[in-house]
Amino acid sequence: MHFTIEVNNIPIKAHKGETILQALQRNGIQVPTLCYMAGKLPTGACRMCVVEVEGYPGLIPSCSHPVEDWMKIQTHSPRVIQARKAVIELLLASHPDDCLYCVRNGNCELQRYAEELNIRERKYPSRSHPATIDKSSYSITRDPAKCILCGRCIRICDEVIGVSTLEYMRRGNSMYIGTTLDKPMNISNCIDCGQCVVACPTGALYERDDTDSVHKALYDKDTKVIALIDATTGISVAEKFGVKAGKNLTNILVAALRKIGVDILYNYNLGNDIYAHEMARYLLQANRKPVISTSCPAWVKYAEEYFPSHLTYLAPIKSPMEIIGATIGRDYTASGEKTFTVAITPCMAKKAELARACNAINNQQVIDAALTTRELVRFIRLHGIDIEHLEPELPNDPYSTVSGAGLLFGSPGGESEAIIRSMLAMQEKSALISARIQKLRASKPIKEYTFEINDKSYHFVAIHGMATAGAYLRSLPSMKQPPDYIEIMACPDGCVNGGGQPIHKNNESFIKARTKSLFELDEKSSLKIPIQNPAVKKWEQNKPDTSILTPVFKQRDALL
Amino acid sequence: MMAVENDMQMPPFAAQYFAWPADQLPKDLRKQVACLRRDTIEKLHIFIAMDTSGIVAGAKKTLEAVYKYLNERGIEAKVIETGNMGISSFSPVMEVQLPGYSRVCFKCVTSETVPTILDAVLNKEILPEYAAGQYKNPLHEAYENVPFMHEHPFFVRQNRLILKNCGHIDPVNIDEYIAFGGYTPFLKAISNYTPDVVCDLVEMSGLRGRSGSGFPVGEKWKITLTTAADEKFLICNADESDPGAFMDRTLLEGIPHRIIEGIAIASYAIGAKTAYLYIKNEYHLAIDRLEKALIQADANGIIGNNIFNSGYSLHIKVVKGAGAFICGEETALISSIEGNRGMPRHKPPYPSTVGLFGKPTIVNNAETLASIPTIFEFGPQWFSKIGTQHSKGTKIFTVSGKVRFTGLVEIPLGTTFREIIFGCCGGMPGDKNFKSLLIGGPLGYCIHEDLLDTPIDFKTLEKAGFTMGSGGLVVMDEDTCMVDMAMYFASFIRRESCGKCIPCREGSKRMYEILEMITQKPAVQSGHDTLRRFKGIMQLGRLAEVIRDTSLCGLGKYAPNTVLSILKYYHTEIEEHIYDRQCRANVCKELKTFYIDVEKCTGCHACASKCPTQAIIGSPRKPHFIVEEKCIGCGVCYDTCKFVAIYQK
Repeated sequence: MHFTIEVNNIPIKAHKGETILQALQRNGIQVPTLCYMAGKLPTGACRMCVVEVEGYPGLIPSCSHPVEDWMKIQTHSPRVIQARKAVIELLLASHPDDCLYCVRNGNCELQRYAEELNIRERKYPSRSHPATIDKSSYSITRDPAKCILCGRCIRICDEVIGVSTLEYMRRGNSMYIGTTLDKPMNISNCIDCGQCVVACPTGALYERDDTDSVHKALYDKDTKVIALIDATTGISVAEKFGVKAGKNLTNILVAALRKIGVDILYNYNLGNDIYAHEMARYLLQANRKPVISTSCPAWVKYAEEYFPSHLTYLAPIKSPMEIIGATIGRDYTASGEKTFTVAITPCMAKKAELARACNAINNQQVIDAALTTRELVRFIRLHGIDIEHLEPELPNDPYSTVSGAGLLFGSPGGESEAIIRSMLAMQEKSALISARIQKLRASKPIKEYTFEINDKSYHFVAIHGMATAGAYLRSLPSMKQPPDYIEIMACPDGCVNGGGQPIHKNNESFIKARTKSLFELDEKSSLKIPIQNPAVKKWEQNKPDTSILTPVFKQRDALL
Repeated sequence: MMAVENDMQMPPFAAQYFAWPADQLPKDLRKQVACLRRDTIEKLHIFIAMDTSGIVAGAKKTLEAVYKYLNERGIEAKVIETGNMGISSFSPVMEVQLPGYSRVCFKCVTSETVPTILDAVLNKEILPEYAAGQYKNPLHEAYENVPFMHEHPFFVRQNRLILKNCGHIDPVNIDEYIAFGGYTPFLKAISNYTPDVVCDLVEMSGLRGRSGSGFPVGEKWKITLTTAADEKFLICNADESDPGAFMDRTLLEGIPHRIIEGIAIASYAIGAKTAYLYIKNEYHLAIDRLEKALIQADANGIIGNNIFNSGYSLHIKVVKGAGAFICGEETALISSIEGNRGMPRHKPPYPSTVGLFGKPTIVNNAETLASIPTIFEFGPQWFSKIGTQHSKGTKIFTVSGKVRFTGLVEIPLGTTFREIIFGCCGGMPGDKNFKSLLIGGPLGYCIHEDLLDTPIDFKTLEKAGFTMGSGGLVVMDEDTCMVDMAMYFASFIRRESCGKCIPCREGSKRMYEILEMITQKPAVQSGHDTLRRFKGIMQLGRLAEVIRDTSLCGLGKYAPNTVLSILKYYHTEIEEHIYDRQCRANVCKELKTFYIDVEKCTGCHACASKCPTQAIIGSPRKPHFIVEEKCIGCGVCYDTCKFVAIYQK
């Protein structure tokens, strides 16, 4: 049911049951928000979205109040602006005056609103609460002094990831956000996905910066630096360099890194191809169901904490990064050269994954550093590289090529699609491969697809969002027929929305652009199946030992 | 008493006098009821008011002394522990009733005075220096020269409907409660009326919520009754955290069965089969008595499955709070019962449609629920004759502070504040002048003497710009500094804010800092500081307005009220703090300065050696001098000086 309301003296259309904010946004009227998370229920905590409604004594939070058909709303009256200004001034008064030293300088919501609301005066003497920075975790650093207690990190960790590492502690002025029993992050139940960092409006949560170790290695004459760039990173940096979002800059990044001094650039996504290839082979002869993916390190950590009994269902195949890492590691251990291998992906959990004992050869990590997309952007800027004027370059052989299937991993369902292509090819059914499996490309939290090979039916399930996956796994025992393969991506919307991706306040359009770009790359690619990739063929001929390709999973104790 | 359908089963004892009018009760039962009502008693009865204010005043010792007295003399008597009879400043209260004679109330009875008083009573002599008054009963012989309690200025204006029998009956004896007509209203309701009719009758009575918001009770119940859901809940809010309010505590300690009855009627009216009673954890005595009362009510079939064979079942669960003021707010309370952090939620949706566990829920204050039985005992028309046009019935006010009689005053709405403070409570003790009245606790208002003649009525108060809140009244005299009070309220809000929304969480801190600045002496005095303090006060007003307009829940919305009302009515006093650096009530220590009278000072140097900031200078045997900038007003020198040479201004 529609009706008309008056906003800023202009009539606009509203639907019954929607909130004032939804009606405003649909009509292109922007109202500032801090605690609001698109697609989730409102909490009404920050009071930034307040509007003036005729007849109401106070100011109404537009995010949580349903719209009614007699409403006359003012979104930017002096009273409303005074209230919003007061909210930001109060936040600034408790915030450290650290902008120039802060990782979010230039991309901080507090900065943005302070400017938008034209705040030019320190109304209250600044007195921020002292807090110790928690640097214990491999991937996430917490600085509670900069926290504005908006609660977005809590909600995403609780509602989307289902791990609930962070929670409000104490109340009132002494309220802060902490982990269970105030333990450091590295011994909390955090799975390192980094979604809290993407959700945080300020610099209270940020990634551990590993660029220093890369930089040092670059200037060490005796060390050969090998970099692996994920195509998902390649299509995610465009807007950071003034180019239209979603444009594929992977080969430009290759050129940039070569200019910076990286010795060898390999194609990270080859790891995806090999993973899909090996998984297809495993599934064709597997005699138990379900087989669960191991490509997402955050999911693996979650399984070790919460589903130790399901660890036997995880495929005995390492993740793409560790497969290619082990391959490179074996190559260079044989040659005896000192190397420093850095993987550049949208993922935060890889920073912890690379340190796992099973991923070392002769006690040496095969991957020495995992950089996120954000760190790469900073690193390139640090070196003053002019992206606009670079020509694209190709990665080094023998690990330079990737098939379209390997590029799909960045979107949830893509990994399944790649494996299905491999399975069909292995069973001489390449003719049945479809250009796109729409069921696995839809934007649903749980995607399912069933297909047949030689009268045997295979049921694939692809889930993104750890909370959804956890609920699905808990319902497994009650299923008559469990699926053959379950692909789990901890981050909602998969790696294109990974914890290491560039942070934007409303990133739905960016996620869409990145996903579209990956599908286009697959479409344009002449190689569709991993086995068609010459690099995969070569790898098959010179395959590393199973001992360095088989992962080891162990139950972890998780604090609540 | 009313007629009951014959096929409704009731517990044996209750059955007979529920069914029969009093004068038609069988003879043996009539005697029992008369005994329970203390109309006719066989032996000496001694009542000790064992409520929290009594215990704090020493009632436990009084009780021990009474038992000792009786045992030593081998006297057979019935000793009953009751709730608060109304006047807290009389605590410890002991009431004595001899068979055939009226019950006498004795005030401030300690273990020393127990023997004296009881010796006299056993000789039919009432010592006037201890007696507060006697209770009139046509079946009892009255004592001479002992005033009647109902003529005491405290009680004369009151209409104790909610507090009926509080302080007079054993709280955990269900038979006494029933003997006085308790639970009959509940039985009337469930046997004669359907839930929607019960809601109509409550709406007809005009009862409005007694927690402060004043929403019409029947109307709210109807919303929940008509919302379709498989489960509904009633929550009784006994998380009374307003400093200065203790009516819920008194009701739960004195007449817990009445609260249970109110909950039962309300639950029936909205179609709830489960009711929760959320009570403050710190109310140990109330929780203890309440739990005992619930066991009794359940054992007698008044709550539980298929009550009186009516088909209606009700289970009441007690949930204890954990000490957060914010959990008295209905959505935070619901959150707390659900096991989550006690943080309020945005409204709409209101709990009456989406509440506990997502089901339609009514949250009613304990006092509101205790008002319900009266409506069904005497009828809604009778009820609506009490009070004013817009505010029906009676309200309990808990009066404390600088008055002669502190305690619980239950007056018909429409009475003025002056009648309560200067009428019931006897006005100011000693010769101090009235300064301010705090109404409604830390979310209330501090009003000036000029407003004391405002009748207590929802509409009138709204027009005057304030509300009655939960009914806690604290009287302040000229020895109270209003700026200090404002600071106390600001610090209260700071401590109790839940932290969810920014205006309340951050704003309360800043309000406190601004007020602190006014009461403190800066290290170096300069013209700048006065301007800073003045700007601070202007900012305080604006900040308080933003907090009031923008906050999420009632705490934030009403928290700035006390500060704003003090700014409004006591501006001169604030200006004195800002410009003159004077505190007229002599409370703000830092603003006190001490001076040495040069005529009296002998130069003994004793004060100088004690001064913590070395603010006193002078040569030996010559008059000394206090440096004003260094003086922090601690008063050590004042206490040290043997020659009374130091005075303060």
